[in-house]
Amino acid sequence: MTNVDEPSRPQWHPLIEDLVAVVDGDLDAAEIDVVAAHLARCVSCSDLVREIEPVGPGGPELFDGYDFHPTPRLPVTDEPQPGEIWQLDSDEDALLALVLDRSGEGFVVGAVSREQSGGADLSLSLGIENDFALFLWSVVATVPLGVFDFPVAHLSETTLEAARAWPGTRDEGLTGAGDLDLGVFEPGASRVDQLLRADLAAALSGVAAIDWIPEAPHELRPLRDLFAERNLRPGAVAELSGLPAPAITELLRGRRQATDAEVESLAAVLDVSPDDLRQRPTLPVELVQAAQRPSLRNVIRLQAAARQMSEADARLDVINSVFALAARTTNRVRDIETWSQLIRHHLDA
Amino acid sequence: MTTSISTAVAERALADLRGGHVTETVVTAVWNSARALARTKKFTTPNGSWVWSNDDIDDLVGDFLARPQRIAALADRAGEGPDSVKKFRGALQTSLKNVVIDRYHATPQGVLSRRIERRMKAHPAVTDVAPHHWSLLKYKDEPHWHGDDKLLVAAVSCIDIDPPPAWDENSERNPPATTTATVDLACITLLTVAETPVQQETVQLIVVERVLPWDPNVVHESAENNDRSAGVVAVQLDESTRQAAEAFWHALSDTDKDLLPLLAASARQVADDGFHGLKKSAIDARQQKLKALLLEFAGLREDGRAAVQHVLGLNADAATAGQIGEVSGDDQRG
Repeated sequence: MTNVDEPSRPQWHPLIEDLVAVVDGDLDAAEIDVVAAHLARCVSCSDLVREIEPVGPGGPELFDGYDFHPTPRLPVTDEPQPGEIWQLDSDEDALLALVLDRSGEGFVVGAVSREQSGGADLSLSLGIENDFALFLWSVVATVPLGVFDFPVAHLSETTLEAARAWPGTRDEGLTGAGDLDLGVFEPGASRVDQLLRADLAAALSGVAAIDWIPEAPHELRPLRDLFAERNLRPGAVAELSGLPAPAITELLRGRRQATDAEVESLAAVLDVSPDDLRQRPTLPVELVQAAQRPSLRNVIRLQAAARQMSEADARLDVINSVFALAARTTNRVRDIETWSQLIRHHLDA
Repeated sequence: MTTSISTAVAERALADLRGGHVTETVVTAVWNSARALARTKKFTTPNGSWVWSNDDIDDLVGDFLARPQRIAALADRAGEGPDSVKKFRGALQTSLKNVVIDRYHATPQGVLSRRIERRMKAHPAVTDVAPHHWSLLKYKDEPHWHGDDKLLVAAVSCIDIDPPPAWDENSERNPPATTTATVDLACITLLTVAETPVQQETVQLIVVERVLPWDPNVVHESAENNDRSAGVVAVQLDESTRQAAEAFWHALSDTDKDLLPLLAASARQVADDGFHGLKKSAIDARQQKLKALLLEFAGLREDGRAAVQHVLGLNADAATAGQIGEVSGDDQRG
């Protein structure tokens, strides 16, 4: 599988609840393996586990519970628009965000929460409904299309302008914990507000760091062109290289990646170096952009879950398949709508 | 693969929250997470005790549930992807920790500390001196305080502490620990003796310690062996904090240790310098998560700022010793 350029993620710690569960023997075998592997290399978690002592049995007191207005899920559109509030979701993080603007292929968004800050400087009321209030926080970043999940609300023009004019969103770039200043807490804002803003900033930066554009250093140069330049037919290449003819056909059609051994054999026959044979694919930007559209993303994600693979891998599979399919039919340049339609057909099939 | 009990409860709780219902299952999920925090001995009750009773846990859960906004936000922070339960449990733990930190800062010590901050900002004879120092106006250009804090403690110990002022029994707020005049006098005395700008936290800790002296019944067990009667320990890094700072630093990945001195730098600049071959967005994400971790670490301690400074000091020492800081172009991307 082609690599997807994902940012290196810090190795964060297991949940405290899972560390406690290890002590209590309440984790299943697979989870224990994961936690045990972490404990083997993490001093602070090992120390924490050693400190855990049993407590008496107990449970929550009887509680009547209450209801609240759940976050709505509005119909998914293909492109988020300024003034819309969306649920964002990546591998590690999720949060609500207000689309403030478009920026090239990305979207400038501000973090939104149902929680309000104690002070007026950190959050701005978006005043949607009485029992469904949302607050914009002074945390701004540019995120790719591929992290948008579904819209939850639309703001009026007036409210959007107010949000854009608010000092908390005027500076481009993450503003969350930027003023940490290594003095830990800024004066004036409550601790809980600063902690919440730092959480939102961490989540939004995590979402913004997702890069769905595939980077495939082992992709082969189009064999079709190389064969044509040398007037070679697949059968002849098979004979010269010793590779099975069906394998040559598969590679020619871009149905799978070549193994290292295959690359070596083909490079010898074609008189190029193996490194020259490998190149980054030139996937059309419109195709990559189309595969990130929320409406298609939702289908791809369902397929990924069904096939027990990551969303990134599933998305790349779709992109490669649709690209290979298109390459066999015509070389015409397609716009994002046409690519979207092709992806839909592929997913339906 | 089977699912642990906690995960199963969290899964049902998240489904309930998505429907807008705070059910018994949601409460159980919160309670499980709260009890786990309580059992680690890393967090104190509002009374400063490291030992949590079930009533203490119930109180924490009650405080947590008292804000429907906080609960409603949890589902949004979980999203709807395949890892939503994992994200939900993470968001719940973080949110609970924030409440614990917030409650700690609502203690008498925390309240008095913020009161000192307000008084110093409003006092006509006192001025802010960067970074995070207070000074009498006439000493503001002097070098920052580098003397022995015992001198400051001794000066403040000579101040008589007024009893709490008369207070309306029907007031929603608790009575202050002492009068405004006493707070002002203690702070001004300290700054007068120092004759230099003094770190704000040092002023706060010494004055808080004088007004609300250590109570052996409620203060951290880790400080049991310290002689608090002199009141000096409060301004120095106690052993437990030192150990916590070291554990925090050791737990960081090598990349994060390299990034620690670069937290204030722009991600673009760091990326341009070829930091571990990471892109700007990835560096942004690491910086924000590291800052959030530092904030949380500091928020859990009375001497949070000093603890963070100790982490930075450890890092600087390691960098000097060549143990870290070998930033290469090796790409760590998966």
